[in-house]
Amino acid sequence: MQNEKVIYDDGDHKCIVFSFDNEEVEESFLAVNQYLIIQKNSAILIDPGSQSTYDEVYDAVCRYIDIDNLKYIFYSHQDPDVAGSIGKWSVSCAAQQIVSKQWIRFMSHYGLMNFNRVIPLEDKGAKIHFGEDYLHFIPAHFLHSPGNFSLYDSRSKILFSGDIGTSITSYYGAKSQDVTFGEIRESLEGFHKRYMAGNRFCKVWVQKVKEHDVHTMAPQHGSLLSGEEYDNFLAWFKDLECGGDLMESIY
Amino acid sequence: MESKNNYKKLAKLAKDFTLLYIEDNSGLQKQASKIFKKFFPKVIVATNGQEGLEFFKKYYPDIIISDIKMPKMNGLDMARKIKEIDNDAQIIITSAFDEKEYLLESIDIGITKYLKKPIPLEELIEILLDVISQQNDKKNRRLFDAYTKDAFEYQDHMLIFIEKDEVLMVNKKCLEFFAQENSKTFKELFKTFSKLLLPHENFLYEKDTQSWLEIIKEQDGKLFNVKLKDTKNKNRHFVLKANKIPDKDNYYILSFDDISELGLLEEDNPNLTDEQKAQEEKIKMINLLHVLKRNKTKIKLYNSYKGLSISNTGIIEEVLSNQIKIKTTYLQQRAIHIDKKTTIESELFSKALECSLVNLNFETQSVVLNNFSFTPFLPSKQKYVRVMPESSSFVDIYFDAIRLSVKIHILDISIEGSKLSFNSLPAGLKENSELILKLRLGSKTSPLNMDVKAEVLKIEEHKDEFIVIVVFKLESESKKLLIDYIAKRQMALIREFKGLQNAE
Repeated sequence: MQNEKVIYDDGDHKCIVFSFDNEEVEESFLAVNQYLIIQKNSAILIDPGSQSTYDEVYDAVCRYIDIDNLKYIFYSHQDPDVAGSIGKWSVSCAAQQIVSKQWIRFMSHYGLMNFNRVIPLEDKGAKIHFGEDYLHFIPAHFLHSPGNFSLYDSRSKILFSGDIGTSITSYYGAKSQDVTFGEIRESLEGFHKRYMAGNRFCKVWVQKVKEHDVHTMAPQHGSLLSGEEYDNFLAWFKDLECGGDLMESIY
Repeated sequence: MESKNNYKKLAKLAKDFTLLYIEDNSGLQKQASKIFKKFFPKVIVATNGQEGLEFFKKYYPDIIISDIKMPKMNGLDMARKIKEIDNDAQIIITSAFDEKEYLLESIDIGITKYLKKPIPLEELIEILLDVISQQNDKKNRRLFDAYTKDAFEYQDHMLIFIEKDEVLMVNKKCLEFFAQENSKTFKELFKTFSKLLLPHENFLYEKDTQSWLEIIKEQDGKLFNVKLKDTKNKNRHFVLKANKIPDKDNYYILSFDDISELGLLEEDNPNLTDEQKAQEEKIKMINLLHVLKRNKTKIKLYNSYKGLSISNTGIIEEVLSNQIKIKTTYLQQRAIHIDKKTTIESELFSKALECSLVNLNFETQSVVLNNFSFTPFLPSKQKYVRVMPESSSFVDIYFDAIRLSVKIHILDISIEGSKLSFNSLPAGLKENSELILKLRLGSKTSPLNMDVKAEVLKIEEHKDEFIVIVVFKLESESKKLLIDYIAKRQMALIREFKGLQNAE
């Protein structure tokens, strides 16, 4: 299994995807993607994952940068496959940890109570400088977590969408493959219908991300979608009935 | 009963109002005027539209009641001309005819009410009450707008109202400080405002990476120190804050609070005695705490539990000459309760403020503190997580290949280094000395044994001990083991702190 791949590189700015973890889902598996954005001497790690993959992700990050240059670690939401390793990362580097303010007090369950280096994200999101460019934290609440954000990197034009766009397939971020929306549509459907809270939230998120010039969507699980395939995903997601819209089928 | 109440109400409300009544039927005019005079202190009567218009220009009445069909100029033509003069004029049209044409024309002109004669007195009173209370609301609104504009103009702080990076309004205080004639000239000056922010350590000024305005807008509500020169070329110290207008994107009020009088920009006077210096510092501290309270600014509180930093925000509720009352979270209160002290940091302080606990109330979330003193050590600058190892942990240290025989105790450990307590200082040990540490960390049953190279960073002499701070030179495998140990210890200390479970 190929574990890492550079998905953007213009000489000064680089984005890398790691796929170190699998979660078994019925007869298939769900690859977990971790991302690293580097600009010159600064880096941000996105959704570093659970305790069990900490060592591999740490080593992978060190292959690309000096750990002292890891400036930020962003956790899109509170799930263990996203933030389970926050306690270890707090010990191993001096990076600032960016997380929804809704989840901060729960982080002590993952072994973090020193909030000196925690940047709490307000519900409305934020925009921070990253080198010469910006990182936008776009609200994605209730998709699926109540305190959830997508991250848009204005330089690479990649939207790190967290659980939005998760497809339960044998495709994963670090696998070199052009995937079409049509190919993964079925494998998107089950997850999104059950995990996303309702169509109102999907619509608002689509409206929000359309404010940005996105070339590629990079979800936390499954494959990346670019260009027209990303547009097809948005068109589908905008009208998706899910969660509360399908309550009768759940209860 | 209701109508009697309304009469009284109208008489009361109409006491400052002037009524212009236009009616060509002399019988009706006399009868109606008599009634109006019971409520309005001033009633002006005209017999046709032309006269009505002249009287309007002369007396500027608050309410106009007019018939339609009259000689010289009819009521609707007059109303149209009055509206051209004052669009807010309140005009009530009365007519004996139920003609749709007139009604439509009245709507077009913007007539307040269209009434069909004969008008029962009760109905007329109710309508007048309605019109007068609307007028009163408008008057109050105008008064409020004028007052808030005044408040903006004459605020003690300098205020600038902006949309994105354009100035919309600026107050008098600000124009005076920058010696600007009017807001137009200030708008020009604001385009190069970054040049006016003077560089000063830990202050806000234009740096290459990000514009000052972007920085304060991204952190609205936060306080920033800024230094500006006044017209006499003297440095002034301001606290700058950007307040976002709720529900309006890109609209902010920038406020500059002049705190030069606190003397924080001045160098310490070398002629003062230590006692005088301490007294001056205390006054500065209290004044700064007042600034924080006035701006309702969040402060950061720091405590530690067995090396583990516990930090939350707080708000200053009360500042007295020798103590302050703050409000903070339950967890921080708990940490303060254990520590019997806390350390306060604010963006306004270049140093941190240490204070002792007087008392705390878990129900009201309040903490009373006293014995303030500045400390140059800023807890927020602590880069790495530190923990105090279990009591069974110990270290043997080798210096020049000889095992040190002094008593050594590990106070805390991070992946960068360790703080050690020595009961006496071995001969030759100094800063930059190279050591080998044989660490035994964790429980007696499954300890982590590590040999680590280290260098002495700092030695502090205390009353009964020497504090020696060492920096590790870790191999990557040792580093991983240490990360793992500290993360587990951190988790154990969190559990212990939260419920004192598994306490040693």
